[in-house]
Amino acid sequence: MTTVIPTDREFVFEVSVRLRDGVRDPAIDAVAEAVSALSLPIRPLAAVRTLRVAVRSASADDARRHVEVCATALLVNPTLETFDITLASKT
Amino acid sequence: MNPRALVLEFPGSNGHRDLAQAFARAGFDVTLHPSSEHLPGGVHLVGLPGGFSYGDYWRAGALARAETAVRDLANHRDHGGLVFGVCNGFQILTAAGLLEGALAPNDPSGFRHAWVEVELSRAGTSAFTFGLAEGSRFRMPTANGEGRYAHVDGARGASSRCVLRYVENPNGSLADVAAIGDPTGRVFGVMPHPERASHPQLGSEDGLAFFRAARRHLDEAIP
Repeated sequence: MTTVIPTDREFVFEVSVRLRDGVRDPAIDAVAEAVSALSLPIRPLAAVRTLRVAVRSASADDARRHVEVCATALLVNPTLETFDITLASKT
Repeated sequence: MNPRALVLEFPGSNGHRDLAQAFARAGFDVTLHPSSEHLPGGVHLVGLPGGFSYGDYWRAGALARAETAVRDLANHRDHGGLVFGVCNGFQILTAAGLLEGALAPNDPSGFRHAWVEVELSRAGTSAFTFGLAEGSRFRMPTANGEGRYAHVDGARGASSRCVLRYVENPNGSLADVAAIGDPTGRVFGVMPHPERASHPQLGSEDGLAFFRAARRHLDEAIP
């Protein structure tokens, strides 16, 4: 009898993309102006877009590499943007 | 025999017919082509139209860069083919790395639609300005929300690739860039719409100059 050992696990990552420091974001300027009307000690810094992805892979490192490829190939324009990848969960 | 042009249709494109008609008026035999399919052989010019590929989701042009036909463009260029991207097509070409830089949200923010005047700032650097005189001016409509040209090397980098510059900058574009070319001279991206200024009934025929220039370039390049 052959025992099948599952090698793949599912990892959930969050890819967060934002404009690089120094790249003017008119949208965040508009948000900051609106927030200032609330008289709170809050200064909006950046708008961040986040994509949550699930990856089936043998290890977290291998899964992260897939996500990095996806980010650099599709999600991020390095002229304007930078990104972070965070492991949210694993099962 | 007329040179052959394709205009790619992306999910969400809305300017493909306009671009096809402008190519045809400049003397190309034009076919619309799904972006999900490989480019066929024997094509001289590929056009990437304006519109909202993939709904402009994530970032304008970002998702279309993965399309099969877009991934074929570098090979097309390397074999002497021309590539023209307008507005969203320009955004796709920068996202795909076929043109330097990127198109950021307008500054001041918001969708900008108006007639603008652009000036040929560097003659002799692009097939799409072949035979046109430096300093020539062209009147075309612009319609975009993410049209502010940015370059990792700042104004110096932007100027080095600039082919057309705005006479009056409408969106904060770096170095007044309205259009750029690649180092080969065969890939061209422009933010205002030449194809929407290609018939007297549209209010201007100025935009035809770029497609006719490409046609002249091909007439000399093709034996």
